[in-house]
Amino acid sequence: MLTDQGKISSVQLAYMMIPAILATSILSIPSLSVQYAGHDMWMTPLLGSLAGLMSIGVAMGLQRLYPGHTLIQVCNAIFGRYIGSVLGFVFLFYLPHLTGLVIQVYGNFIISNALPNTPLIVIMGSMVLVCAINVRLGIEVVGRTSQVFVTVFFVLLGLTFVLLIRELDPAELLPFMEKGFPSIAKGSLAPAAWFSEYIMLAFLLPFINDHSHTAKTLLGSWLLVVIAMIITNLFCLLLMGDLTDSFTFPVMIAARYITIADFMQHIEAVIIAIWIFGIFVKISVFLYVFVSSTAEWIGLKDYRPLVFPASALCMGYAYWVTTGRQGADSLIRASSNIYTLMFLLVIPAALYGIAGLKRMWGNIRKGAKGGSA
Amino acid sequence: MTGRLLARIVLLPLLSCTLLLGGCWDRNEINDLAIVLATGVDWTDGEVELAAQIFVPRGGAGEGGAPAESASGVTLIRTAQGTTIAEALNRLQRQVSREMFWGHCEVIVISEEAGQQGLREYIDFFLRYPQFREHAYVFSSKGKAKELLALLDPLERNSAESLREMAILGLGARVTVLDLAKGIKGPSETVILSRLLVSPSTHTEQSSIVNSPTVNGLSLYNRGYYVKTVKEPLSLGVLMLANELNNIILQVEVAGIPGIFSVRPHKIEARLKPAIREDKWSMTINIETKGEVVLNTTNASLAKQQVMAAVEQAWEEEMKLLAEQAIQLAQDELHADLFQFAVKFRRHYPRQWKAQEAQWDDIFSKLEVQVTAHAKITGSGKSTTPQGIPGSENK
Amino acid sequence: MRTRTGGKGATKQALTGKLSTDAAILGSVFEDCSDIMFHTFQTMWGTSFLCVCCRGLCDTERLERQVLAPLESDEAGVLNFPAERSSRYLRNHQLQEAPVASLEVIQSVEQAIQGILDGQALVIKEGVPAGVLYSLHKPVGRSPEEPAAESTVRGARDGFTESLQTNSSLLRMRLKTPAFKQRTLTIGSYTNTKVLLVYIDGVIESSLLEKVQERLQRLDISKVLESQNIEEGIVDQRFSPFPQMLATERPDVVVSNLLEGRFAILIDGTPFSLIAPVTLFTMLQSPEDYYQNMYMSVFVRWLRYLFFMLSLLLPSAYVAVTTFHQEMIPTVLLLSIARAREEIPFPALIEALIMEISFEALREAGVRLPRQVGSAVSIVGALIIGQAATSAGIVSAPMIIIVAITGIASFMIPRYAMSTSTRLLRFPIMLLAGTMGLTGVMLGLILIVIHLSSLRSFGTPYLAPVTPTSAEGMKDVWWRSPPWRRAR
Repeated sequence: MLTDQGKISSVQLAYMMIPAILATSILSIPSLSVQYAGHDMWMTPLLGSLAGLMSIGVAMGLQRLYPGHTLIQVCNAIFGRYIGSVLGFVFLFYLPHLTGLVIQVYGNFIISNALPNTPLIVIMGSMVLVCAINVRLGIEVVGRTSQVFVTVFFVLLGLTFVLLIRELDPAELLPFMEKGFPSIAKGSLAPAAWFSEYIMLAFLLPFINDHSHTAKTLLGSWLLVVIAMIITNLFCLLLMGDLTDSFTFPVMIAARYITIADFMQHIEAVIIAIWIFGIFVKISVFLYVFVSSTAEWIGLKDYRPLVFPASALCMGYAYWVTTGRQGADSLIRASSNIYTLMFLLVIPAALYGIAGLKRMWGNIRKGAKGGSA
Repeated sequence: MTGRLLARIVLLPLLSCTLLLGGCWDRNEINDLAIVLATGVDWTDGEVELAAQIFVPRGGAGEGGAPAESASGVTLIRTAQGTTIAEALNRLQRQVSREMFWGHCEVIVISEEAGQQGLREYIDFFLRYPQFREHAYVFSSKGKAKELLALLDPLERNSAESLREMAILGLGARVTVLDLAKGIKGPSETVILSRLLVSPSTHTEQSSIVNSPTVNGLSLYNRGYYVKTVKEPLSLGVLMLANELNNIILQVEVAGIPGIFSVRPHKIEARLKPAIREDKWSMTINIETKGEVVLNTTNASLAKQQVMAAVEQAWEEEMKLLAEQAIQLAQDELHADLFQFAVKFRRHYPRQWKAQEAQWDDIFSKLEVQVTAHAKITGSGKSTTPQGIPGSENK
Repeated sequence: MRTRTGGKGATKQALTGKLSTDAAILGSVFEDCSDIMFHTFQTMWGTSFLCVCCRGLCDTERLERQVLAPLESDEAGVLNFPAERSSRYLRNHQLQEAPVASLEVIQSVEQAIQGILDGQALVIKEGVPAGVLYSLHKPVGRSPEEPAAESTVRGARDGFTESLQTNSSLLRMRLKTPAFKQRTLTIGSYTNTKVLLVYIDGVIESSLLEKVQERLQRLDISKVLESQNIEEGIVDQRFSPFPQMLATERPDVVVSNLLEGRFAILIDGTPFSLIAPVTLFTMLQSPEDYYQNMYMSVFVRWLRYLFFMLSLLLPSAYVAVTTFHQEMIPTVLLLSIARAREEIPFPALIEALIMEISFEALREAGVRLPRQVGSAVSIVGALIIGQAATSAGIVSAPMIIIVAITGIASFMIPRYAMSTSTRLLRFPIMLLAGTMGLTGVMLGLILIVIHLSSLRSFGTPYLAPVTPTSAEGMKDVWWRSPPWRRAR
């Protein structure tokens, strides 16, 4: 039924999901959330992570109702072949959009921070090629590479933070609740949009081979993401205070600020490395989800032939999504967060609700039948 | 399976080769860079003048270099004027055959004259132009910044290095570009920079430019504009309240004992405690200091408890006096919140601060400031009793 | 068995028992094989015998003393038995009574040919359609010496030799248990090399064993001269630059690997045996890790991981940092690099390529040249050329330091096959570094990790136990727990 015979462990799945949320967010979330929440921005991931919990819940719930089904197959199972296909197509429309956006953000980041004169097509193309090779080798390989790179990701991130500790000023935490709760809520909309990407689980849970630990492991990954996000926000705030929102990538500035014994300095390349490793896993996961659900939607037995055409499509989207940074920014910012939340949280949640009702209705009818017979 | 692998093995080198042949878009050999070590900002004829100290890779040639050789110019200075700092930089590049590389510029000197025109433009530029370091130390200079950069410090490789070392050592205020931006953008809108000058050439060495820069006093900035220069002893108080006073030896005179005690503090900490009681804003400043006696020209022995206590008390008075003078300067003369009182109020009384933010200037000049000091002498140095008194052994 | 003999389809036949026919068949098979000796003789009791053996491989002195001489003296009973029952008689008497340790009764010509080529002596009695093969091998080759490529300070000093018997006895010496099994196979249609598949019963997984056996039997190659011939044929991914089997000359390495559930393949004619399944981390372990103080071996192991990364990435990181990310270099260092590089006419990438390629050439020349000349080459190459190149301003001193560190790093990798693959992979990464800076280096690294993740050695993922994770296995990767803590 699945288009890939490989299986991954729930730990690997957890590893795959971490950069899917964290990779892009650690760079943009601090400056996005400080705009609304001011000095309380470090709390925004706490609030935003509720969206992640909901997404995990919906994905696990759908998995419980339809074990071994991906979201596309669940659509078919609930609404039948035709309506299900239409609904599936909605996701197929959205997924390359999301993937293209990630690719585009990656390209722009590298252009503006590392390689200003290199053509965008080379930067994005090389990354997409590498991810496509990864995806083609199957979910097992995607799982393993994520395990390797997520570990490196955390080690490097930790290193950056440890080196920064000397420069921090804890007094920047105050004033507490300066702008009040509503602005914190507004500020947490962006983290929430990122956290809702946990819905990718609905596509990947069927590949797991040890279902008993899944819930615990996924909650662990969720917790790790929340903590990492809070720490990132805290470090930016304690280092830059009110200036945080005036930088495009505050974490980059933070890394540039490091000077240890005149030797370790300007280690923004470490941040670029973190970013590349993280975004590699993220694009791979999204691309994998897109390709495998397309294969399911069409009804192919094997997703592999679709990998390269689909990657090319995502590249196309990356160009089409936006031209230039301003456009990408506006897509990341507030209104687009609602757009993202709709696809990633509202629709799957509605699906879950309908599936639950249907199951309940079925049980009642069965019960009624059983009673009459 | 094998076909796919073969394709990958052939594709990868092929791809990288094509990239190599067509690529290297951002490659920049070190040979093609003019490495800027320090930047100076001056104001000349109504225009911004940007000066850059550029490293010259020839000369010493890695053999260690005789001192005379290293002083004969491993760096060179280029300057250019423009209506904005960016234009000046653009013109500066026109004079240099290699691409200017600002990524190693660790020192930025802004002359007081340029500071009078406002720092905003410079701060924006330094935080926007990709290569400048946020961690570069910022100094102020009495005369032209370019003259300061042109100095050839006989002790260090170049004057950028000596300035940086001075900042790290804590002579004067240690302010980075990021601190500068934070200070100006924050609620107090003030910044204190160490002020440099070319020390009057007392040495009769080769030329006047073989000399070291000297830290001399502070330049005070309010709302992004240069307002005043303070010198010792007033500058000590200012630094102390800004918690930037390091590496200093204070003279303490005790009433009733002729002579002087010199004290070297290990730690000087000024704690600001804001308070709002019944709409009355006040600030309590607690100065904690600990130190060691390094000179005793009196006949009193430090082994005696009373002498110790008297020195401590006199020291406390001294510190209080310094602080009060500095506060007076800020409140009455400059009306500038030099010591970031506003930040404290904002942190501890966010609601009141928000309501009264607009009236801060008024509140500040009427602010009641209490100074208390607590000094502790941790040691009397290597000796206990006064040394070198003739014939004291016989008593 | 696809045996390519010179014979004209004669090999399928059975031995006739008529000496003239048998001799003719074998003679045609061994036509122009001057090392095969044919000898037909009659005892004084009138019985004829045919003796065939390979000169040099077979110990003729023992053949005469232990087999042929007793035939003369022990003829009495033979006449009493009819010829049709002589086969049974043979099994019980006379030829089999020869005082040798091992013999084999055979019926077919093919077996006879195999035996003779293997160094056994064939004796056929007139009228008996069967022959007897005596294992009278003459010991060939050298005695075990310390392996040159895998020396340790502490640990066993014996290494495998070219003789399969010696090698298998070296293993048996260390594994005195009947659970230690050896399966014999013959591979190579021309060389007919004996190959020993050894494992420990009860430790190895049976599915793994079947997989190897099947792959070995399916292997259709003409020659087996070195273990590489077999390795290339049976590994999972033939196009990977990484070694998927561990080649070693050390019996203690084989034994410790067998005890960890792996199998080994010993090959006649080469001192190198193959061990599988392996992972990246076993390739980075040295046998000495287990022979010295625990803290020391953990330290050395981490040092080795570090230098493994350095040998792969150092030149490319240098190129990337000096041409793309100059702000990362500490100021003072940048200034001295700038001063050193000022006179250099080449871009950093070209400089690095020149140096790396000449270093590889130097190393290759050092391996190939006669030992006496080798040291002269390294002196001229490394010292004189290096010194002259820096003072002439062709390469910069920092680059020489980088190349030298890289060279040392690649020598730190305990497995030669692993160090060659890192040497090879260094070049594409250097090109990537030259085009896209550290971004390119990262992409190269990602590609390598993707490849390693998809690689399997006989079903075991190459990056195990790190991913897929096994907590037990990780212990032996990140540190080396003392033996009583290891679950064995």
